[in-house]
Amino acid sequence: MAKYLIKRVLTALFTLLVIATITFFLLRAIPGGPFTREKPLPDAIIRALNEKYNLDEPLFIQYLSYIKGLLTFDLGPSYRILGYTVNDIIISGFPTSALIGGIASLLIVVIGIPLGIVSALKQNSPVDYMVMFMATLGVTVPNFIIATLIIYIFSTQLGWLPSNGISNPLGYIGPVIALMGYSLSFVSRLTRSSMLEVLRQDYVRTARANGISERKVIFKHALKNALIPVITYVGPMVAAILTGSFVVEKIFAIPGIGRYFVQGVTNRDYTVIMGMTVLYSAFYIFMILLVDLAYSWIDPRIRLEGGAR
Amino acid sequence: MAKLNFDKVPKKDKLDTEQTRKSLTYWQDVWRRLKKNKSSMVGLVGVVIIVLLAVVGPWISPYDYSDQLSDYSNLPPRLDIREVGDTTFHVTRIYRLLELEDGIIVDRYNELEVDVINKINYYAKEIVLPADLENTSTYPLPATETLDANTYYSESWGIALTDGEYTFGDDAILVTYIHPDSPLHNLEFEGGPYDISDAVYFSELTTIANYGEANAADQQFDIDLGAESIVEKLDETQFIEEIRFFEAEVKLNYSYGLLNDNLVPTEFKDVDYTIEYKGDESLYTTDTIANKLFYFGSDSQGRDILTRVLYGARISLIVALIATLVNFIIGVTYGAVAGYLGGNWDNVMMRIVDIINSIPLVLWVILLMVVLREVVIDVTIAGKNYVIFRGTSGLGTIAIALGTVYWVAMARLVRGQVLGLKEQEFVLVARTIGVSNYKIISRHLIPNALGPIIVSMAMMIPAAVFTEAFLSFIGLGVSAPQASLGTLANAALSGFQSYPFKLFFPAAMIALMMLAFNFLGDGLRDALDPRLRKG
Amino acid sequence: MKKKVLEVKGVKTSFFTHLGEVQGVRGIDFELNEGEILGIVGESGSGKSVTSLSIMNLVDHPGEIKEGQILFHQEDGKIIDFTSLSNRKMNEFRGNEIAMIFQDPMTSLNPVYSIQNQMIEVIQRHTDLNKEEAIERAKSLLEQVGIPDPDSQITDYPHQFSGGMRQRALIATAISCNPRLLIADEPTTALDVTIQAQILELLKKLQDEINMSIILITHDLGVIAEVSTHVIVMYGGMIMEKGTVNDVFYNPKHPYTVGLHSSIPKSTKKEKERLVPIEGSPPDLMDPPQGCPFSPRCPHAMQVCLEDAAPLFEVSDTQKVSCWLLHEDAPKPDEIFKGAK
Repeated sequence: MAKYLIKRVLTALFTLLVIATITFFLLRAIPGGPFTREKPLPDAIIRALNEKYNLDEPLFIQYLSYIKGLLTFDLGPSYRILGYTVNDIIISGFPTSALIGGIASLLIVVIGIPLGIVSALKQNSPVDYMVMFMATLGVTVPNFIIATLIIYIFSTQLGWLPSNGISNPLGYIGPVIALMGYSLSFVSRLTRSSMLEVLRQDYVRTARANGISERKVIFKHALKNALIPVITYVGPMVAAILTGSFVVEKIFAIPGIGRYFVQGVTNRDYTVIMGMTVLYSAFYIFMILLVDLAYSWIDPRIRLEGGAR
Repeated sequence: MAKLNFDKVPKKDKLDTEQTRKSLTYWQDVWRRLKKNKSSMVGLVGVVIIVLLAVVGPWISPYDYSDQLSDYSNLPPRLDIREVGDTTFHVTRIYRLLELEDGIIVDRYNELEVDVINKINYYAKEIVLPADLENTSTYPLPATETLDANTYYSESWGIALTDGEYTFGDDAILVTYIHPDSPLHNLEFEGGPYDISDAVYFSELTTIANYGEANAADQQFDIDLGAESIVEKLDETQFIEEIRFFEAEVKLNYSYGLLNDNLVPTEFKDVDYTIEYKGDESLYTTDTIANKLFYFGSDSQGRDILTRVLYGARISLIVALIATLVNFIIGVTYGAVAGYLGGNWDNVMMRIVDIINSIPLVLWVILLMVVLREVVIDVTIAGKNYVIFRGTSGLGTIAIALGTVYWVAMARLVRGQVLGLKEQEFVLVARTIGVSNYKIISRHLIPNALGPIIVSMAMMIPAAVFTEAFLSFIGLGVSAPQASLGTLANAALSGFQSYPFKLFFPAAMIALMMLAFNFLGDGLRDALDPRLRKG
Repeated sequence: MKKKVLEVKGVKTSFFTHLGEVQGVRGIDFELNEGEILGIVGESGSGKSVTSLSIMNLVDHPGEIKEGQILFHQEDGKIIDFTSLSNRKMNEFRGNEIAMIFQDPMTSLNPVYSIQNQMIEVIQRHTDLNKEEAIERAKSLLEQVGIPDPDSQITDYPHQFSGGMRQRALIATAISCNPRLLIADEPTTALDVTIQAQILELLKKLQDEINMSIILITHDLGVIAEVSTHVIVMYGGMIMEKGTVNDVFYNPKHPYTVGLHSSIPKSTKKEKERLVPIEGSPPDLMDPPQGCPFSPRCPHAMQVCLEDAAPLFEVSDTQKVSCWLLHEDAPKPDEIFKGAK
């Protein structure tokens, strides 16, 4: 087990390095730099800035010093947000994004899975149709539409929720719902179909034929098997949700980190893009690792794989 | 008891009772199953209607997607009207009077300056600045530049406002403010007066000003007409701004309540203005009528939203189709080759797939946009020149970007299918009789994996529409004057609270497209793979 | 007179799909005594599996037992109608007095729980044993069904067991509460031929040891011949013929049974024999023939066969056949009656 974990962590670190490397060189391949403006800055200023941030050194040297910084968790200064380092940006924005994302993820699991189960157990009943209709809407309506509708209906028209910011606890409701929409729908659909599949399995019939109570059949025998595909989806989803959403944070004016990536890309703010990419990838890889561990805990068939090698 | 008949029955009579089912080919069977599924038929009909609308709609519309009737900007689908004397007016959000006769707009704008308009008194809704102006810290000033240091701090908003920040220029009203935590706050500013336009990005600033209330764009327009503005500071939290329009002699009284909603005096909360016309005065809106000029309303440039939505649907569909096609060609070929060759080839090819998968989509799109910016591909057929691809339009770029990112999933799927299929006897037989690898892949492997491939493609279309809408929404999409649905939604966002209809129609179109394609895709999946059938 | 275990009276089970009613079982009657092994034979779609699920009262939605009674005779003589029981009440019998094993041992065990977990769950469900006692019981059961090293293998997961071992584990679970009746639905179909024989042998041995009755459902006449004492031949959701093994194998009276016999190869016969397939295909249970379900395929079909299903004619005390040919006025074709006494 320990050996397996060490192996996985090393692979994860290597993957992270590969991603960082690719992103680094890809970025530099894009014409334009962090100091390119529509109204060009004087050459002298650009030169001074390049010198200040060591952007005048050979690319490979820049790469090495970036990786060196990465190893010491120093993600470098932002080129466009003056006086801030990427670490500062993450420290100031990430807790907000993670809090909203955490609430959303938790609710997705706590609401989505039970909805899927109920829907599967009451297949073709009005409850099922209702849940599936909502889920289909949730999967098909983009989150920026959900977000603006929430603001329009609940802030502008009804005045129940603040239209932006999270200074008021009520302010969390809109962003959390907008963030949840797609994944909540997806999770309940996935749980439902997976549950239906499992309930048709022979071992469920065997359990019933052995007089096991319906409650135990569902929650012990069916659920554990049905959760396997759900976990596969939820893992990467959590990584994506925790690291913030550009759209939701922009619409609700939330000071998270979701928008830094898109902004960074449009501004060619190299270090910010790198920082956001590395942060997201690290989360992603970590969640995949958790998912794999959860697999081996749930499904004994996977237990020895990798560890034995 | 009736007599029982023990006569032997001849064979041909019996066969009548034997069930005879027509044998169906695979595709006939798929079609039969698809027809039985109600929701997928709804989806299919929806897709056909949307495609028809997208293809035919822009042609038969009296407007072109780029036609601008700027005199009629931001008209809603239903017009509020007021009766003044025996004349009916609609007052636009930018305080222009449109005279209506039998529901049809008769523009009397030019006459207004002579005698029509006397006065519109208007108390605007407060401009609500975002509660949290952390935003501002992302609009920094280069360290070498300077700024007038005369700033003051507004407690209730937690923001710092530079004094005299209302600059009425050609482009916008600039409202500059700096976050108190910003390092700029501590900078030494020299010289002055500072030229704000160098340091601050117009678009981003107007976006901020537009967050709560969408008047800046309108003011741009008004100010262009020639107006003067007098800003008067009442106290630390409120400005009164009076804008005088010379031509129209309209007096507008704005109140910028820089306070929380509940602190704004109620009289400023509702739009309240009067029209004086030839001695008659109208205080209230009396009725609403349908906008016969623009059935879905018009946008800020006076373009027909209906036409633009249909045109946007066309653009979104084109992007989705190209992306799906690119995805199909690359994904199927790559996956089939990797799966068929197997071994080390497979390993290396799949690692490449993993790496491509890890590149963030937004980054990839931008990279492609920049790289493809200069590229123009055209063909000349019968003396006429057709541009197939123009990097600057964003249309081809975004389609290619999507196609080249999404093929990864397709490649994985096809590889998995091929890995399973290539061990089957019919492939072994083909090999033993010396069929070439190319033919084995194209004749034996791919056709047998076609079911999952088609399902994946059907689901790919809504996914592409979705992603395209997202990319356009964050400003990376199709460039003006072309517009996809995502671009339209994004453009509508800034004036959303005042003009919800501008967002509603593109949003509804996106949702309908997504629903229709998803229903169809779900149905296809069930029909192509009976194992996955629901229930 | 032997004690009865089960009486099935006029059971009809249908599935109400969105395409219409599928009549899986269309009125069957039989009874089973203590110590008997009843084989139910028929091709797929004949209603034999639906019969077994009906007895267990396990017919899933959209299926439903429309009519009839399933009377279970308890040890002390009490008679219970399963069709009248709630699912909760029925659960007290399932796995306890009446148990069932299924066709595919590979998928009939829950892959995410150990054998021990799944066995003691059933044992503790129906007994008052504590966990340790239940584990001991489970181990002795595994030993009884021939798992070589139960002490170490009981904590294994299903994927670590071979198909034959899994079926043994399933049988062990099924007999864990000494059921009066065990229903085995095609217990050997998914297994290798050599394992098949072992499992059948095991069932026979267990039947002897704990004096239970067995209903063995199969499409394989060979399996029936090997272990059964009594046989029911089903077709199109109805019983065509029932009797002892000797009756049905050596004196078949229903044209379908005769057809079945001539359609399987017999290694015992010396002369070269042509296999005779039964022409046509099984009836559409959504719209079954009005009369005898076999009439459209029957070489001896008569006008009456198309109009009315035949009643059960008594051939002997033990043998009953649902065929109009047995009517006193009917013609007696040689193929069927040549061996008649």
